[in-house]
Amino acid sequence: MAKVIKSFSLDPDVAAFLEARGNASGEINKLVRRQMLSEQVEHVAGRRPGPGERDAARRWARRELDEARAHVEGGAYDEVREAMGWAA
Amino acid sequence: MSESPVQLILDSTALAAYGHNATVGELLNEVEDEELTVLCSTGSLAQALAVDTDRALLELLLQRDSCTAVSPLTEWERFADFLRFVGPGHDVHDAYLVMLAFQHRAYILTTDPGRYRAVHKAVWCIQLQNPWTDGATG
Repeated sequence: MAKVIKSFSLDPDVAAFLEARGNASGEINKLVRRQMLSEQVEHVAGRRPGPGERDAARRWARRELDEARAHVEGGAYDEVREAMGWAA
Repeated sequence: MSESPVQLILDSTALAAYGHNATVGELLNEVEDEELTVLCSTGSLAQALAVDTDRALLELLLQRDSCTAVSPLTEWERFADFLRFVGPGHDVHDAYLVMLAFQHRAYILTTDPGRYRAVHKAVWCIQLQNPWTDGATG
């Protein structure tokens, strides 16, 4: 029996994003896998953050990572890394 | 260990918060979007499990593309050099996470940055925030 493979459509901005990443099927696999894991976590924890909480957490996460990166790229670790012989 | 650069290290308090605090998951999403790596020490995993963190949540965390488990046993000589560098009197596992941070140019996610800054003041920690309620602007 012939195998039926379902197809689906994407919003233009999502399609453009995936095309820009160069490996659309790989990106979709990663996103689907992340979503499935996230749903399992919510099920086990018995807690599902609402969109407002999620958005606030995402903005906070981006801010914190940017601040941390600026700190480290500004040379905060250089002295220790040189002392340990880890400097590039 | 994953080939991609390490950006974040989760201590036991961050591991215990996974699934209960949206900030942990969103940080992991941001790291994964940049195809970077998150390290979880086997010592931190044991510490989290010992304070009744749900084992199923830890297993789901380790299934994420970004997460890699590491052990001080696999790099004990390098760790000995670092312990000599920071001097005596520190919690050995805290010192291991600080070493990982310096070695990989990464940051530690924790509720208690002071314990890691006590090992070396230059280490950068991201302090976990309480979950926001819906409608909060963050």
